[in-house]
Amino acid sequence: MSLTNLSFIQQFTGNDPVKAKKYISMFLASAPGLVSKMEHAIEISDFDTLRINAHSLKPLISYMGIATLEQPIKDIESYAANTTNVDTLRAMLEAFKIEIEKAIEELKVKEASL
Amino acid sequence: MKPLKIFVVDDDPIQLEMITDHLGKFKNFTFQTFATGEKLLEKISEKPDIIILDYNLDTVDKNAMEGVDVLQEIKKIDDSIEVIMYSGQDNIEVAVETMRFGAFDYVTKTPSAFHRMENIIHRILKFRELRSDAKRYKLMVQMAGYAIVIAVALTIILKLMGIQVFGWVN
Repeated sequence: MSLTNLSFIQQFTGNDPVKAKKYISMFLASAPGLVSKMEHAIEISDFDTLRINAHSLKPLISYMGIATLEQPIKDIESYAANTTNVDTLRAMLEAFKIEIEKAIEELKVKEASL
Repeated sequence: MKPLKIFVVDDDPIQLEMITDHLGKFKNFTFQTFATGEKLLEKISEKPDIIILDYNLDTVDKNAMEGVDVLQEIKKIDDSIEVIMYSGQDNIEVAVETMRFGAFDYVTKTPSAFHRMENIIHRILKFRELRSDAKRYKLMVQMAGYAIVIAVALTIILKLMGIQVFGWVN
């Protein structure tokens, strides 16, 4: 089953493959860096940086139609803001990373096909 | 008609690209984009009509000015510039806070944000039109008031002249 749904991007770009490719490329250039920053932030218990990067990634996930990660990224942002349970936060981030890596691979294939 | 000058401030290049791409279909809009509030404030003397301003501007630089502080600076410099706040925070308190500081409206970063932004810009244009109509009507009422005063004064003067010349009395 597909993790990503590009219907918003297609509608936003008016089905222009060049523009759609541009936005997918921008996402692919930006998302791995944000995830790395989030991982590093949790390692050093910098919850504010974790929150800020989760906050930045949140709308991009919606634009790429990664529906299964919309709630997890909101939860990570919210947990990081409250820093209530670090172990839960770490587990959430690990699960998130596995899924977003799959979504990134899928988007690379979709980008190449445009 | 003078093009509408729109400044867009966001530290995320994807957001800047999407906003200018979506609103760029309107030929009468011109854009300048900024990655920080500080860079925007350096160019504020160029008098934009509308500023689309991200609420969280500290993703790249943690010491960068926050959107709400930039908003207050803009309003201090020129209250007539309309500001649309743009944020990933789906939080009513944040929205109310920005409106209290003079933002025209608040948009959450979701797929529907771009259409919402377009509608808000049209609402700002309508609002400006109404404001300028109101100013014109106020001026007309003032002028009408002056005309009445002048007419009354002239009547009195003419009456007095009539009394003096012909000895007329009501």
